[in-house]
Amino acid sequence: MAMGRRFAPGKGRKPAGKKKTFFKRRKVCRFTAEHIEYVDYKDVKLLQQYILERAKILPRRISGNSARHQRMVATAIKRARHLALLPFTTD
Amino acid sequence: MRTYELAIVADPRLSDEEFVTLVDEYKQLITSRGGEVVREESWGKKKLAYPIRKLSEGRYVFLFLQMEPASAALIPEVELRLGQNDRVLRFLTVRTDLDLKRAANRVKPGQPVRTIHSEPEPAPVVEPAEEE
Repeated sequence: MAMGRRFAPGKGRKPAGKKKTFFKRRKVCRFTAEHIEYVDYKDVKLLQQYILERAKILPRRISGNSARHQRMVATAIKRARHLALLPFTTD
Repeated sequence: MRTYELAIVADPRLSDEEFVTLVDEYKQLITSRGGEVVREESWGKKKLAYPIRKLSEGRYVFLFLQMEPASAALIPEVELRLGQNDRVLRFLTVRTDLDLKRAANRVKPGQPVRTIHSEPEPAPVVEPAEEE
């Protein structure tokens, strides 16, 4: 198991062992994976998974949604909010 | 042919009959102007996510409409009347034919477009054996 790159002694900029390791978790757009092509504003249960505790829309960088699907989710959430199916904010 | 969805959130203090009358009023208006109410979905009284006019509940109904583009002028008319009706807390009209068509093009041919995904996949419809 290779644990990061080893620098030649004296050459590395950071002390050995302190190198940050990044974990790249592969984010998958759920909608692409499940071939969901229409997001309904009435689907409250689904939309609830895409809002944060403060009722904000979950950003794409977290959810991993594709741009197209994120747009569909965002529109659906905004419609659901208008009908008071979802909150704008929590007090 | 265009399809629309009309969502109405009405005052929860209305009785069942009053609510039906209110919805019928709009259904009649739609039908008289060349629209067709294909389907109706009633959710009954539901808690609102935030208070509207100090009310914490609303009566939800969804009308699925269909009409020729020439009749689409009835939509602003319906919206105007809904806006004037103080027993209606909220309403929303969404045109759905374009989005559904686009979705149908992306789904594998022959597959239906699912719109509600939080429910389990509907069981495949078994065609009745006997024919008329």
